[in-house]
Amino acid sequence: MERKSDRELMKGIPPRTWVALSADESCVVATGNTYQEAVAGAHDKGEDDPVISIAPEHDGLRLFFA
Amino acid sequence: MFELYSIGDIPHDRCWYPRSNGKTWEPVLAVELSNAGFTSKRLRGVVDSGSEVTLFQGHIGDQIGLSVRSGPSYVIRVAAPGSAPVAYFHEVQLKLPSGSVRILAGFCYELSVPALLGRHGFFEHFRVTFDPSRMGMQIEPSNAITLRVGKRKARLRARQARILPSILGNMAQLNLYVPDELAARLRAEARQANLPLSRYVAGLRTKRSHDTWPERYFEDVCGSWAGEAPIIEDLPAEPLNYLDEPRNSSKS
Repeated sequence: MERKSDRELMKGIPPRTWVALSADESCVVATGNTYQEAVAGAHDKGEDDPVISIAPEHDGLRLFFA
Repeated sequence: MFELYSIGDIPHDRCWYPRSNGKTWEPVLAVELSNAGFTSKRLRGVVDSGSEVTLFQGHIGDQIGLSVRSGPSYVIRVAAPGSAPVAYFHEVQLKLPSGSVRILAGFCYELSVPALLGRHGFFEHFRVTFDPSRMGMQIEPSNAITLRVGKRKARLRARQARILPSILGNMAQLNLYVPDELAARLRAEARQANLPLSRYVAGLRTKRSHDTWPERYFEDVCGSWAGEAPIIEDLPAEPLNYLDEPRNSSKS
């Protein structure tokens, strides 16, 4: 199954928002201002094994270098 | 372990849009982090060989019981000029589907992704092969030995005949996860024997359990044998150097 990018999955979600994806990372199940909020929201929706991500900041290029 | 890339659309105004069929991809991997009995949910991390260290979002460190800001801190260079985020380093357990490893990772509250899997903390423990033909990456522990056994000659024949090896059958592949010392010893022994590692390890005989004694076992070892052979399970353990002792034909 194709894995969607963060930009595809989190369109319309404000940047830096914590996002709980479904266990197979195919869709967003909950969001929150904090990690805990996103996890709690996922549990409320019945997803006990979410994959946590963060909505991208902007639609520019993503370059990581640390 | 094979992980698919995450795939998305390239905006039409990007100059590489026509070169990539309008698609871009990112190597992502869901990992867990644990410390002192606390375990995070799976985190969508970016596999980034350009990153010197492995970093996690600082708030995740808070969730797994770390006193994040108490760790040694370093300013990290990022591509965005003007920002100088600080990462605080702690030892944590990194868990992947294929295993877990203790690593030193940085925790940064300014990080815009949950996890950035870099050279120290990730690439030093795992062998990663980026495979554009399958739009994914193969990840295995760095001490894994990959054996290819089976139709080696068939592959050579296929290459000589200039036909696809798959027509003659795929070569079986085994992945063995062994301690670092054993992996190093096997590589050294294979080099000494002037053999590829796969062929050397495949050629090692493994002990097989027999339902009956091997043919002529007692004649070859003891010289002769009379009477019923004992059941294998009932025999006491024999010293390993027994077989090296000179055979005496009068033994029975």
